[in-house]
Amino acid sequence: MKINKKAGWLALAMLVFALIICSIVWFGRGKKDDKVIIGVIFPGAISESGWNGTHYAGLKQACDELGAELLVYENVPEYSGKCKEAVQELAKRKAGAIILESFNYPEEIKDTIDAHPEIDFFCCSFTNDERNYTPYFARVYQARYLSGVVAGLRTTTNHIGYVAAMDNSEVNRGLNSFALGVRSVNPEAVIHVTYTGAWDDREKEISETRMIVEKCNADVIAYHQNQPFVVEAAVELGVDVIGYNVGQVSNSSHLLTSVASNWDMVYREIIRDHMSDREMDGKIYWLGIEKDAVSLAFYSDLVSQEIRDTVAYTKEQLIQSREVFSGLIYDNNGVMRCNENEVIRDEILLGEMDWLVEGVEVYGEKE
Amino acid sequence: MEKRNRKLSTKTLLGLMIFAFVMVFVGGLMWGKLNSLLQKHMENQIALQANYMAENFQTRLDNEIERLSEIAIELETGKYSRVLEVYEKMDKQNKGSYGLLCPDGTAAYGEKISVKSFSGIRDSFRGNSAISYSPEEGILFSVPVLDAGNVKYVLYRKYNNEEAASRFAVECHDGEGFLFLFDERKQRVIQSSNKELGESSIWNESFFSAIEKELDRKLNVASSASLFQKVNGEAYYFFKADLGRTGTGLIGVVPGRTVATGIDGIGLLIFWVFGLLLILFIICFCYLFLSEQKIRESDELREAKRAAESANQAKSDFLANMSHEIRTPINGILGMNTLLLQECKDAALLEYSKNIQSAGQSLLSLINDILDISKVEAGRLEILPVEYELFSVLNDCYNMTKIRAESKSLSFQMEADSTTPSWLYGDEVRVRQVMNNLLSNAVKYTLEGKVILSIGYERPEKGRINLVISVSDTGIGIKQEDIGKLFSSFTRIEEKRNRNIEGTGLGLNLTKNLVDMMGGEIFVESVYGKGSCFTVKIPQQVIKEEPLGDFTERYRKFLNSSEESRSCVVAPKAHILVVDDVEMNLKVIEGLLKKTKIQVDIADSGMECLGLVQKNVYDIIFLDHMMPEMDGIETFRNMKEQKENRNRNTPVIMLTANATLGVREEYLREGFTDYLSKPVQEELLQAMLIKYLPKELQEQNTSRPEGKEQQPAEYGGQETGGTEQKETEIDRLKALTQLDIATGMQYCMNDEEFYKEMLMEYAKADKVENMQKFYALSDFANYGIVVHALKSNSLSIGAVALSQAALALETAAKECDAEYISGHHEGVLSDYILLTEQLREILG
Repeated sequence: MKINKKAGWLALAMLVFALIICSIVWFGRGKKDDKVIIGVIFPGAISESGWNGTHYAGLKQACDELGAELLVYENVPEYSGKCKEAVQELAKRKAGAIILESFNYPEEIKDTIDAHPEIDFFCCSFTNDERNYTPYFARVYQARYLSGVVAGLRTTTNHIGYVAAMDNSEVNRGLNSFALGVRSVNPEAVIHVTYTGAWDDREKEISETRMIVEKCNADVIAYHQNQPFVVEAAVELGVDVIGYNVGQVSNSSHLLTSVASNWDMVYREIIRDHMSDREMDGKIYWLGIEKDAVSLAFYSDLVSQEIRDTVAYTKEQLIQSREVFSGLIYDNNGVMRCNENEVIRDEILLGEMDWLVEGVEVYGEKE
Repeated sequence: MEKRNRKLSTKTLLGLMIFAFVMVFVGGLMWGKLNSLLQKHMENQIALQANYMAENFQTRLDNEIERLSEIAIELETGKYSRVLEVYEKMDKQNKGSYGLLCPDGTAAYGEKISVKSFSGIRDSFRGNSAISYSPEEGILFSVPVLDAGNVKYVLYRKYNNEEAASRFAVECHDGEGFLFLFDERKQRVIQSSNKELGESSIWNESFFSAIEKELDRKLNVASSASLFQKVNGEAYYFFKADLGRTGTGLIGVVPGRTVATGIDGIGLLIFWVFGLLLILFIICFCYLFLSEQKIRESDELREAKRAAESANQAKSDFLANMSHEIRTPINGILGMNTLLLQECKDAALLEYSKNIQSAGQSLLSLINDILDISKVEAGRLEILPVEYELFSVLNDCYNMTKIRAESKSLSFQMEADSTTPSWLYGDEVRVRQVMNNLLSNAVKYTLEGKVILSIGYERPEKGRINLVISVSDTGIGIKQEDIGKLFSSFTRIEEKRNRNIEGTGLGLNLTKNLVDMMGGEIFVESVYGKGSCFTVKIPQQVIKEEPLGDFTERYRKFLNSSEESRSCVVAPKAHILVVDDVEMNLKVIEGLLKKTKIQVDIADSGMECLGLVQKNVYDIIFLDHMMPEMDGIETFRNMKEQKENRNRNTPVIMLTANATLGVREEYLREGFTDYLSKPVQEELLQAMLIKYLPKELQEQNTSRPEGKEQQPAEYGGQETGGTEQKETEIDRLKALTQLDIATGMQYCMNDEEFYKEMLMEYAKADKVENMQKFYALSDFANYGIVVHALKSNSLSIGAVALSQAALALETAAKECDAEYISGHHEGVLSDYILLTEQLREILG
């Protein structure tokens, strides 16, 4: 009995001692920060190759590196109202930042962005100017310029096709850059463009590709769509094609190269700034070729060493100081957009690219 | 005990050491924790400061850009050379140089600068303002100059390193720290002036790369970060903060001692406080340990005290029980002795009997004192107030003391205030006891002179008085230093001097206790060798304001009346029953009733009593209380319930040794007619008989009972009283110390005449001649015969000592011990001659 009592006291003393130690150790540890939650909304599936797949891969890598939790909403078509729902759900799930992976989302959910000032919104569209909205992108147009060099050197018919999704600054910037690239090495070449009106429309993309090839005698096709349906069609037609955001999705050497962006670099930058509450207003998240944010992914056998050297030389120029939109530039209506010794500033590239450079013809406009 | 202590102390020491270890451990842990917390706090603070510095720096850079942008707008007019010249002059004191670059890399104004050196030029050609750095060339601010929306030139302002350092110099922590601005290529662009720290080995790749990695890790979740790190034994806080432009920022370092002076103080404080706490604890522990030991000791003491008290209590109880038990046999002895006194006619036996009575009375009062003391100690003594008349108390005390005083040839005076209220309410018995104790002490310790009892009173309020009893004597007195001891139990002062005076040392202690219990006070004044005065004040209630009157006069009246009433009842026709289980008690009562000629039936148990009351009609029944099997009260109840009881109306008187106050009321409530306390006193018994016997049965016999009252005064034992002559002879004989009259009388069959004849014969001293003759001749045989005769004769008259001396001589003679005989012959002879001469003188 006595011993039990003694043991009891001893146990109590040890418990108190343990408590003291624990409180010393635990005191001041601070609350563990809740994991930063990043939401992302894709217009398609993250398993797709192309836009959605590459963005997801880059974003996932950046989030894993920085220890953020990623919540993904897939297959949310633009202007379907589903984007707003997804944003609201993400807000409920305490997402601190939401990345909108489609160009027209910000315009669609402008009110919702305003209604959630606690959330940082990111998108590749530079049109919105809400305080909690930050645009980001890679200077993809630089890679398109290089791909234009490849196309310009490959074409024998001097007719090049371009399947574009929509008539907006982003698409036109890429198209113009591509055209400038083509004409920098082949001033005679004509670029035939057709707008499908959708980011994903397999049948239309394929039919338009066929049409451009057949009607315009194009032997090189480039495109600006989410998925590589154009590659599929072009390979079938036996013409050269330049991919966008894809790897070597086809065994055919007609897939000459692909315009690529290193999205993880871009995402790393914006998520880091979001997590550390850095001031993002006025900061430009538009990374260029000099930072290796964009490049040509690969070359097929059909791309000769000569072409590769030319591209390499051009790339070096771009890295050094040369701007794509500089020097004397006329649009396809004969208006001078840029004079000798001038450079078109980013503001115009981002928001006011509603013209096409000389040498670009919109399919059907001439008829 | 010692062993246990040592064991305890090793154990305690071990415990103490463990605790000290725990304290030190906890203290150390806490110190470490505190240091790390403070470090963390400092890191946060420094990171915050770094952030402020970065923002501040950023603002200064932005201002520069803003100014440049304003100039760029001015330049859109095209007259750039003139404008720039103006600004160049205007900003001369700020140093730096302006320039205007064309897209083809040529300079339209100022120095030509390549994009390789300053990447900001590219940004500006893309339409953005930019700041770029070059370790060789300095810092460059650039903005685009537009022409119809497109970028035509890039305007820059360049500061070389010296200029930049003076314009954008950054200092941190009053120059104690070091920081620099780094560009996208991680090169130092602008640095603060503390060169010593700036070129220190802490920036070596081996140290700093790990530090920067950690800082970058922290920068993932914050815009500025700080890290405490010890490099080469020196503590540093490194910090890093981003500027608004990607890839640029501030990196700096502050020596720990610069920012941590306060922290050291806190650590030291903790150390001191903890150390002092430890000491405090040890002190507390020691104190607790010691006081625990003390408590244990005092527990032991308390236990011992309790044991002593309970032993004392047991002793007191034993004493009380024993006293009680002793009283019963004493009662028997005294009772039987009373009978002896009544019946014995032999003077010598009466003398013995009187001695028995006196000794018995002393013993009884002693026992009573012991009983009272033990009751006081046990807290069982109660004060039982009753109404009483002061006079009767004084009367009794006076009587008792007077006799004692006279026997010691002391004068005893009573000085009572005649106005003292006579009818009082208080504990009569205890007042009497106090008075008696004081008086008997006074008589005891006074050898000659007088004893005075004064009675007075104080009146503190109406209806109450403080009865003042003062007893003064001319006795031996008390030494001043002994007065304090006077009232303690069992203490007798000046034991040696007073060894001849009987006493137990209980009297005054009991008196003091009684006075205290009655709410009174006792004072002593004494002059050693001259006498003492004891004064007692006892508060009593007054029942009737009737003054006491002159005591002497009332006493005389009382004496007369009591003389008259002193008569003896004779009632030969009366028939009474006495019930008691102790045969001796029965005999006592029987004996006491003998001369009344009353017919006495006795019963030795309650059962027998119940049988007898059915047969006979009695005039009084005396019933003992304490009986085995059926006690007095039970017997009485049964008797009342008996149908065939022929003594329904017979007065029943309770006999009890339990003579405490209040008992009487209890008995009367029970239905007893009265009670009589044992040992039965003849006077009280007589009074009972007079009171309860039917008057027609009583025959008053006024003559005194035969040969009783005179006993104390005389030894003669003659019915009609001896002559003066004889009385003188006897008295004078008594004065002879050599003579034991009682022994002598014994040998003369208590016949006084015969005794006298014997004495006369003895007085002839006829053996002197022979003794001298044979002694002279040394004829021991004949000498022996002579002293043998002397021995016998001397014994027969009561000269015991002489007889024994003679016996010794006779023995010596037989043994021819000439030496002894020659040594004692003369002595014995002279005693013999002296005695005979004295006898002759007395007897004529």
